[in-house]
Amino acid sequence: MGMYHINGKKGGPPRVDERTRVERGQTIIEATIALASILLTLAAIAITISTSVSNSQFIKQQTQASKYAQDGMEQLRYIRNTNPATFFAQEGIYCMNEDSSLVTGSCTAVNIASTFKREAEFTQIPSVECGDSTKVVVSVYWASGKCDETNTFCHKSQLVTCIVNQSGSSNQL
Amino acid sequence: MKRGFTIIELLAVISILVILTGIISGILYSTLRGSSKTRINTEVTQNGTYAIGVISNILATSRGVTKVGGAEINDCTTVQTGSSVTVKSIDGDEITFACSGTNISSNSASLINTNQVQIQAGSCSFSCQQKSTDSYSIPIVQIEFTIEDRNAILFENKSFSTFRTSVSLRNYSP
Repeated sequence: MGMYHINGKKGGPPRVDERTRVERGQTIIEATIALASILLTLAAIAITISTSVSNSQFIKQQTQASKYAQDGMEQLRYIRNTNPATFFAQEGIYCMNEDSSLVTGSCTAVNIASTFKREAEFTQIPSVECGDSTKVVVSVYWASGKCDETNTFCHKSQLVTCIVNQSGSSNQL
Repeated sequence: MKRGFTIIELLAVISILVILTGIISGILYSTLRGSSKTRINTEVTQNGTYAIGVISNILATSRGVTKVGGAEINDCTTVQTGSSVTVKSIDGDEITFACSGTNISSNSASLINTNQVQIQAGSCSFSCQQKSTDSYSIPIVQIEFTIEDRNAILFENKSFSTFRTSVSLRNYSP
């Protein structure tokens, strides 16, 4: 039966030739696939690593930005405590410098640690969130390679709070 | 077809291998470098966040500032700046935050892992400010320091970060 099967198919010698040719072709394809998969794996590793580096850089800047925002908030609270007349006369967006001085309008350039822009926004009119007290928003912006050209400072750390107008002066603590 | 490889074939194979080895080792090198940069950035951020968190929490609850830069002060109506600050905490104990050398500490406990990071020389300052005409007004304390990695040798591995914040004393009672 076995003999019949072999003999029943194509002749011996031509079949061997055909197989040899097919195997050589497969070897080249295999080699190409192997090389391609090695390169793909390496590219994936490289991309992962560069992402992790840029993420760690982002986290570092985010930490700094949140501290600068807290710093700004505390400085505003200090202005409220020491100079309420000035504090409750502020309205709209101010650029808040490193020494916590306020300049009317949005920041035109980085003003903190050569990396961040810090802005404070006051809303004196009564609002839903804050009632009669003043709503204060401190935002710290920074730029990175992930930002597009239309919005270069696309990262933001923002704090919002309501600061109440304490009646009486600080002498009467 | 069975007489082995020609010299051309061998050369081609060897040159491909050399190029591949070059690419692979390049990628491996930058991978290792990148991961160590990530680790160092994380260390710097973690240590700085911890230190500034501990300091600002204690300052926010403390009753008053008693010393700045080691000198006794009555109040902060004139701005006081120094490399250390002592406060009277809510339970009445005195707590001193100080930068000495490359370390930052709370009383005698180090606030950073000195095996990993250090305070950049001269970067650390504490300052206390109060309304100049009113020693009963609530003072504000500003903290600033720069943390850098201790073990980085290569320039691209160096990492440092400035931490700065301000705290007004919630429980000020002169």
